[in-house]
Amino acid sequence: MIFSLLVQESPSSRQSSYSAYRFARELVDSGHELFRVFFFRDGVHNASALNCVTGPEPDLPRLWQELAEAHRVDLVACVGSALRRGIIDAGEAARYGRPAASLRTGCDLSGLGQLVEACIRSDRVLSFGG
Amino acid sequence: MLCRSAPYGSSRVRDALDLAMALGAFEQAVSLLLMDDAVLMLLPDQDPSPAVSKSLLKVSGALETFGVSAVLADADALAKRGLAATDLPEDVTVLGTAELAETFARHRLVLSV
Repeated sequence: MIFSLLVQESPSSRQSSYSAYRFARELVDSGHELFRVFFFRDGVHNASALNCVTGPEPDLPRLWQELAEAHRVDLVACVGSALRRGIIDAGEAARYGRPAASLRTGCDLSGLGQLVEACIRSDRVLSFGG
Repeated sequence: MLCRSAPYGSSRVRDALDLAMALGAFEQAVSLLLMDDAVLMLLPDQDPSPAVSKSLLKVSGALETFGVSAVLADADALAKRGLAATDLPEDVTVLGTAELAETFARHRLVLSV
């Protein structure tokens, strides 16, 4: 079965991102296809390249990146949500005159159309933090 | 799409409406179901200007333009807030518990924002 996930909350302040990640791992380990993970609203912090995790808690941006690389999962951060929260790639940093890019490698910035496409292409779409 | 949050005080409803309109713009058959405090966004004559940058009233008025085919409201949520169907715009459909279950069953995907 083809799945996509909608992740809406910050990985550092809410449980739902880690729940989404654990669900994603179970999906691919069970032989399902995970087509896309779409980070929306505060969920775009899952796509940060600059977060620093110092304690025992999971480093979700790194975990998502590793999952995407291992299983060819498409990670997309909503560009509207991401710009407001300072999650930007080099192109947006140049466009808005910001001193750094903060989007993690392996994740793309794109519009809500990518979530719509995931809804069309997937048998199931699960919303975390809705 | 399911929305349960109060219309002001967080960006959640704005983002939910953006997504509903994106789904409609890509010609997906989409219904917007409002439960709990989200039903308050349907009330006419909102004036949030002292509180927030933009009224949701115009955004919600644009839903049909963007292809959102149905706006649905939970009857129980309305009753708990002292509201009736007559307080809402005419094109809103009010659903009881059994109809809610039927609505969820009828849709291929349910997205909660």
